[in-house]
Amino acid sequence: MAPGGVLFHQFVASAAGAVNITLTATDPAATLVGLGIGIPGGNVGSCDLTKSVQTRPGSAAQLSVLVDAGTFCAGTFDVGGLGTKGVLVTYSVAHP
Amino acid sequence: MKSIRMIALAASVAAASACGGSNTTPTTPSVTVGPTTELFESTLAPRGAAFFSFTVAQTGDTDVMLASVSTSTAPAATTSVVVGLGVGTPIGSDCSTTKVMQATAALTSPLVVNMTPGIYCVRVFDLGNLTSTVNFAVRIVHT
Repeated sequence: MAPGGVLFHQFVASAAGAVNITLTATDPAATLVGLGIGIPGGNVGSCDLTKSVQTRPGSAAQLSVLVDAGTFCAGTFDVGGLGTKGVLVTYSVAHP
Repeated sequence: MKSIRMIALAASVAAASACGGSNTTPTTPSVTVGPTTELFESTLAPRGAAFFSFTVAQTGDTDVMLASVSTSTAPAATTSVVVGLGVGTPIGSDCSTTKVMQATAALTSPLVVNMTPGIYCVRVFDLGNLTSTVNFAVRIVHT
């Protein structure tokens, strides 16, 4: 992810339920980034965010929300502290 | 005698089929309309309102989700401010709501309304909680 950038991807929840997003790793390690979830749209890049947090990588989900069935988006964004080389992020999205 | 009657009946049915079944009544094919998802994105000013019209083609539930409210286009600008959310029918240059509620951004649908075919609208309005203009996104799933 580039400085000042966002990185979102879409996923489909096949039923209503909980979505858990975990930022598992960053390179450089322990980089503070934003983590968010929403619906595909045009207000913020490609994803209109519903909920977001600032977090560092860990093993437990940093963001959990309830969703209806449908298409959603989740991802990371720079909260202002990235170096010129950016950051490599790895996150997982567990959904129905 | 019974077996003769059965043979006669079978011959009669076979003859009718061979003639193309001209005694059958034509039926109008039914068309099932799948759910349609629409996205209503706009801005909401303090004391303001915005609405979006959509057409329901077939009787069924309409789900209305206030999916996003943010104070700017920056990704970290999400807010949990409470706004008004309603459904109704378009009238003039506004939306006459028949069902309203208070809502915060969430990915579940707080408004589920069974609708017959027609034109309806979703209205988002300030309840007095806004101090500046916000961006919002509403997802509408209808038949």
